[in-house]
Amino acid sequence: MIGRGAVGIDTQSSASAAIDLLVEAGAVLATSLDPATTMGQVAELTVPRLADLCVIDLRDEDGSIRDVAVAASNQGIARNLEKLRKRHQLDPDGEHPVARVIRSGDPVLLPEMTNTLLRSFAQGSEHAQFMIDHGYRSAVVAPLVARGRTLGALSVLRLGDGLPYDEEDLDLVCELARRAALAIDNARLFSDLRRVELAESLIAHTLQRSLLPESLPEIPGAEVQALHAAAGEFNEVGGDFYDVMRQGEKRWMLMIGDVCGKGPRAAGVTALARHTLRAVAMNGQSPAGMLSTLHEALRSQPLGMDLCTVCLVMLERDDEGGAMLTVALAGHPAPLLIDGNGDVREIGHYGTLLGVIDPVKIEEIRVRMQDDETLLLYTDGVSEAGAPDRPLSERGLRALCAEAPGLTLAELLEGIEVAALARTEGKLRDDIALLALRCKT
Amino acid sequence: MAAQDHFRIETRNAPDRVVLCLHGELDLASAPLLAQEIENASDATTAMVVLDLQELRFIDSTGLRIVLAAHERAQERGGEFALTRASEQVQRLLTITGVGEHLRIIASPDELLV
Repeated sequence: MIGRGAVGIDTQSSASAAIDLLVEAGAVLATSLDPATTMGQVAELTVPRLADLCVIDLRDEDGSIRDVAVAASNQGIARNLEKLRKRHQLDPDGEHPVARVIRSGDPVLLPEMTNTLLRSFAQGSEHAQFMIDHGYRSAVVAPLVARGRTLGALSVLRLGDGLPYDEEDLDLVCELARRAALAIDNARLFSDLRRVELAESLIAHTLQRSLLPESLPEIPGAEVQALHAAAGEFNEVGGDFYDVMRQGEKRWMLMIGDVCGKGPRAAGVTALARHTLRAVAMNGQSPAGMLSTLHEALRSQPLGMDLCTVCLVMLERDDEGGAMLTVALAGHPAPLLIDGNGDVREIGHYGTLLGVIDPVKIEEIRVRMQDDETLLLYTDGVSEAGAPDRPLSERGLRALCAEAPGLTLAELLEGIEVAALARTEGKLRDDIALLALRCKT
Repeated sequence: MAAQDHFRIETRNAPDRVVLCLHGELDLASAPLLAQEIENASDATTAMVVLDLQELRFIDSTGLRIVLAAHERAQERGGEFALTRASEQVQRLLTITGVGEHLRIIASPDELLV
């Protein structure tokens, strides 16, 4: 009876020690999201109360086995083991208990390891000698299993004259391994997710930048200024675009457009629109012809229903000063021409938006622009800022433009942006884009 | 803000048509609601779908796309599709984009089509 009582007390204390260990491990595992650090901390927890040496091995994607954490009551052993493992990687198909556990997914208990046994699974004579010299005595190797996959193995060892492990220790190590595996799995998921997020945000950002010109070309005898403000979060790609390109000796093409929607799909359509227009502009097509070509390109898209509005202004400088403008509109607000007295007028005939309706009706209009006049192209995010309760509206935009003669182009565009933001309480519902041109006197 | 807070659809079935009366703002957030409702209305065998826009305060290009898709769908089925005149903002967008010219616009949702 006394003997049984003593065993009972012993069991009680070892059970509470086991609970302590699992609680501490739980705390470590819950807080860390970096797999390497987490495994180091788990290995440290087992030494010295459960083990003289603890090794955590993980299986790489190519099937090879790599030790990620080693902890030992004797720091020298830990360092030497790490060096040895570097020279002699465990053979995933070999007899080493770690390899067997990773293959089978079942734990292994080795209460008493004889030198013969150690030699039987050693990775060469150097490895065998190392284990014998350090007195490898007893071991438990438990699989790290999460979501049905064996990620690796957790090994605890007692050296020298340490107590042999028993079934209870096996259960404890298996439980510890199960929790550690979940933590590794979570950490991996987290880092994968983080990578995807970063990649997406980078793609969106790169796309957004690639859809707007880095700088506008110099037009001799004219000044050009652009402004773009995106609605929503940094990684939402909007559909507004603008561009200016040279079409000939004294001929330039100004474009501004708006693609329906947001996100990667809209960005793809924006890229298609911008690059199609650039390509056809180089062919010397007229603005109306360019818009028809873009319409065909959008119509031939496999998924259909990608709509887009565009305003094109072809500018031809001549020797009389000023310039001749040819305006073509496809579903887009007409550009404004502001004279030296601040009188504002719309130029252009409304035409059909692109990508949905066949046939599109687009009519060019030619207007002479004087040297003291200002031309403004804009997207409807500007006039509709604040809609429906208090939209800036075209009337409000015209009022701001009436001040243009006394302002630089940069001041004019900034003033419009500030007014638009004020209407929306700083939170734009839609992108805004502005492109202004003035001939220098 | 949830889409239904600023956009609402009343569906009315008449003998010869389904009338969808749109209230509020039709934009990126609320467009899917209309797409769904049009889907449901098109399942009915009614010959005509009318979008009543008199109570619609705002529409953006995403909303416009849904309207155009509904029109295309009605044409494919050989049915009729019409809009009523809308608020100034909505009417203006229909004009600028050329969509107003392309679609049939009627004075009241129950007007007879000839």
